[in-house]
Parts: sequence; structure tokens; C-alpha cells
Amino acid sequence: MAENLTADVLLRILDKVPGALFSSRIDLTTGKLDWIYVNAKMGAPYGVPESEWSGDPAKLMMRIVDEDRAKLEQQMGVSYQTLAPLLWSGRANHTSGEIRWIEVEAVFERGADGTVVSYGKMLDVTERKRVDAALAAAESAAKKTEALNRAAINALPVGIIVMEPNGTFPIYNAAAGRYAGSAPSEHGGDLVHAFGVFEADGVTPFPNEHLPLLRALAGEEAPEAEMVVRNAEIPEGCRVHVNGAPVRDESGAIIAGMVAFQDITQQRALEQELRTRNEELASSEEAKTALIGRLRYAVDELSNPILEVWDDVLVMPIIGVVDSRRTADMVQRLLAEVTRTQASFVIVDLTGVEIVDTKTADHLMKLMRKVEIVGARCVLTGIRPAVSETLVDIGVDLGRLTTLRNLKHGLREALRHAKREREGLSDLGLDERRS
Amino acid sequence: MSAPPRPVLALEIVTQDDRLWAAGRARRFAAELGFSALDQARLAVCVAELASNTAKHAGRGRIELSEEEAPLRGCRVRAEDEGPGIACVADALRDGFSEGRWLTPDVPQRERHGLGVGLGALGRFLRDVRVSARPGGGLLIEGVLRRDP
Repeated sequence: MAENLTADVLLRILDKVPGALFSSRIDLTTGKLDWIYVNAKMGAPYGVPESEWSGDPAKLMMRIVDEDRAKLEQQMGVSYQTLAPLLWSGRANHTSGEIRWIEVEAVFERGADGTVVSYGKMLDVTERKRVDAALAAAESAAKKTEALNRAAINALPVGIIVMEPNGTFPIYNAAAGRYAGSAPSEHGGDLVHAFGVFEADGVTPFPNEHLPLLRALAGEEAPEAEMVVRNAEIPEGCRVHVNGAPVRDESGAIIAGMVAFQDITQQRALEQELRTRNEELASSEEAKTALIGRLRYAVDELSNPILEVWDDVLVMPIIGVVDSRRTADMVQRLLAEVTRTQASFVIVDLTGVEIVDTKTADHLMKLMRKVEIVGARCVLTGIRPAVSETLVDIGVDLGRLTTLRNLKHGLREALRHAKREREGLSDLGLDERRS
Repeated sequence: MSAPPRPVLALEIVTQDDRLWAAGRARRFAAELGFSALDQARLAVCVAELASNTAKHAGRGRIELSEEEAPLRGCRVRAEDEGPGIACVADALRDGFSEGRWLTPDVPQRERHGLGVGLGALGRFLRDVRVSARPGGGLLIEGVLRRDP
């Protein structure tokens, strides 16, 4: 201990120490309390000048908020009896109307004369309380946010599972429970068996290393898979589409893997139904197409008769339109008929054709060329004046074809042709034909 | 007193075979408007060629016919599709040009699908022919078939 430590020095030190120190003596029989020492700073939290309270400590006590003072008095009563240390904090009404928090800590000893002596200190802890309150508020707000986050994740209509590297599931929402059953407590890394995961076929066990959750944990950015989960909780099985992603901390290190997954059982069922319906539609469409084909055949039969009007002379009147399909049919039947009847002259009559465009003209020219290649003469008759004009106007050159005014002229030409042929043959002495 | 609505005929072209059906409808439409037999045939051939072109290059399209009084008296023909369009509009309206190229003698016969006179015919039958690209893609061909006085 320093040699020059006088009472003055000690009092100055007591003044400098934060808070206000005090010592008092109470006579338990009379209840009379005397200050042995009290620092002038004692009145600061109350805003009461020392002159007003030094003679009467009750003046300070009365400024303490009622319920806090009751507690202090009760604690003091206990300490006087048992000499137990006292620690109390409570609110004081400052004369400015402000509430200040004070904290009192004291120890007690019994004097030889039966009085109880206290040694204590009082601190103004208003600032500390304010910080504590702010901290508590922040903590409660954080808790609220956390609770909200959890509730939101839980309410998501997609299953969410987050797994840490040690295999625990800090996040496992309600939808995850619906689609995959509850989180397995122990799995030893074999999630496929723990959950009952199968390939899309619903039979083949899914390989663990292909699970998006484990792939995400291993650092793959966007693993994805379709699988069937079937276990004791979901005996009928649930078809899910799973998307995974690694969860990283601020430094970028992976701290967990997460997956989001959706029940696609219904979607797949809908797709299947759609496919079935499309197939049904296609087959009914096919039936309709077949019916149209049969009707066309019937119409063709009606509208394209091939008539053997004379020996070796065929007439094919065309009525209506000449499209490519109908042309193909006409060519086939006409060539067959020419071959069958050994016809040497074919008249294609267009009296019933109102419209000839470039394609129709093209079809007709090819038809006639094909007839000539199998060895018969072919002429066109009955071209309508309007058809003739438009043909010339659109620039179709029918120059290579023999065209005659009408069927009568066609027949006359046919007979002339037959006569020429007979004469030619008889000139050569080869006329063996029937008369 | 408002004028009675002008007769309009709209034809949806879906396949190549629709061209003759469309042409038949067009001929009847022209007959109802009092066109001469020759004008009926001309309108029918125009529609057939347009429909054929539409079905071949665009798959499907629409041809609209409407009576026209002025400045030309006849029938307005409007064909639109959503196909790839024509690279060179001027060439398309000339004979010997088919499927995007000239049918010069070095083009093998088997590669000549048409006679090469299709759209060219339109230029002879229709007045004020306009061929333009539609804003949304595809081709718009428009013209007026003038009726005999």
C-alpha cells in the first residue's frame, strides 16, 4: 500500500470511481438508518441535489418506481436478516421526468452492537439497459424473420430439402414430407434406400451418385432428374421432378446441398391421356380419310367412264376437275383399258371441264403422251371456248396435241385413222384383221 | 341510304387439291356477278394458280374475292399466306420462272415441276398487280380482274 495514502486521497479516488459508493448502518430494533459514507454522485440518477437528500436517504428511495422500490425493500429486508449480498436493478424517476435505470450491489456485515453495516455501490445503467433492449428487439425481430422464412418454406407447394455434409436436414418442408415421406433420421449417405427412390420406370433402384441432392452437395450447379419415391409412408409411390443446387456461404464454400421437387404424377397422367386422345383423333381422322378415299373412288367411277365406242376406239369424257390424284387414277385405268382392248385411238373429251389451269394442262399433256407411248393415237375434243382462250393467255402451248372441235369430229377422225391403218396394212399384204 | 354490301368470297386454301375447288367457287362467284363465260374462266384460272402457289410454297393461305366498281370494274383478288415469300417479286411474275429460278435449258426436265407459267399468267389476267411481303411474314398478292364491258 502506498505510504502517502491519506484520507483525502482516498475520498478523491472514491469520487473518480464510476458509480456512487456508499456504506450505511441500520439499527434493526429501531429501523434507523445512518450513512457511514455516501458519495455525492448518489443523487445524480434522480436529479436531486445533495443538500436535499444527505440528511434523509428516504428522499431518494421515494423517487424509485413503486413496484421496483417494493422489490428493493423486500430484498434489503432479507439481506439484513441473512447478510446475503444484494443485487437489484430498477427504475428511478429523474426530476426531468425521464426514467433512469439504476443498479445497486451491496454486501452486509453485522456489527458488535447488533446493527447491520452495508457496503455498496450504485450504477446508472440506463445506457446499458437501452443497448440490451435494442439487442433484445433485434433478436426478437430476427426470430420473427426466421419463423416467417420457415413458415414460408413450409408453405411452398414444392418439396424443399436442404442437407448438410454431415447428412442432417436443417430444412425439410411440408411438401417434401408429402412427396417423399418424413426425413430419415439415419441414412449413412444411402439416401436411395432411406427414401425408396426408383428410376422413372418405378422399378429400377436409383443410383445414389445420380441423386440431385448429392450431386449438388458435390458442387454440381443445376442437377436435375425425374424419379419415383415409394416407401412405407407413400406406398402408392410419387413421381417427382427434382432440381438441385449447392448452397454456399459468403466465401463460396459449399455448406449444404438443396433440392426442390414437384409431384408430376398428375402431369404425366395428363400427358398420357393427351397422347391417347391424339391417337384416337388420328385414328378417327384416318377412318375419315379412308371414307373420303372411297367416296372419291365412287365419284371417279361415276365421272370417268371409259367407253369403247367403236372397234379399237376408246372415249374418256372428263367431267369436273382434273387434280393430280384423279389424273393418276385416270392414267392407270386408261392405259389398262387401251392395253386390254388393243385400242388404237383414244378420244379424251373435255366438254365437261370448265376450268383448265397450268397444272391441269400439264396433267392432260402427260396423260396423252403416256397413251401414245403405249401405241395409240390420242386426241382432245370439246375444249370450251373460254378454256381455249385462257389456255392461250396463260401461255400453255398445246401445239403438239391434236385437238378437235367435239366428240363427233373426234369419232370421224378415229374412223379415218382406222381406215388409213387398214389401207397401210393391206398395201403391205398384212391385213389379217377382222372386218 | 347506304350501298348494299359488296359480295365477297373468302376461300381457305389448305392443300394443293383445294385449287380446283377454289377455282370452281370463283367461277360460280363470277357467274353470279354477271361475268361473261370468258371472264369466269379467267377468274377461275387466276384463283387456281394463286391457290396452287399458296399450297406449294406456304402450305396454307387465304384467297378473297370481292366485287370492284371503281376505278376498274371487275373483281378484286387478294391472296395472302404466311409462307417464306418470294425473293424476287418481279421475276416471279414472268414466264419461265418457276420455284425460285429460271427454267433455262440446262435445268433437267425431271426437276421442272410446273410449266413455269403459273404466276406469270396472273400478270396477263390481272390489272394493278401488287406483290408484297406481309408485315408478319408471308406474301400478299393483289390485283383486279377487269370484266369485259
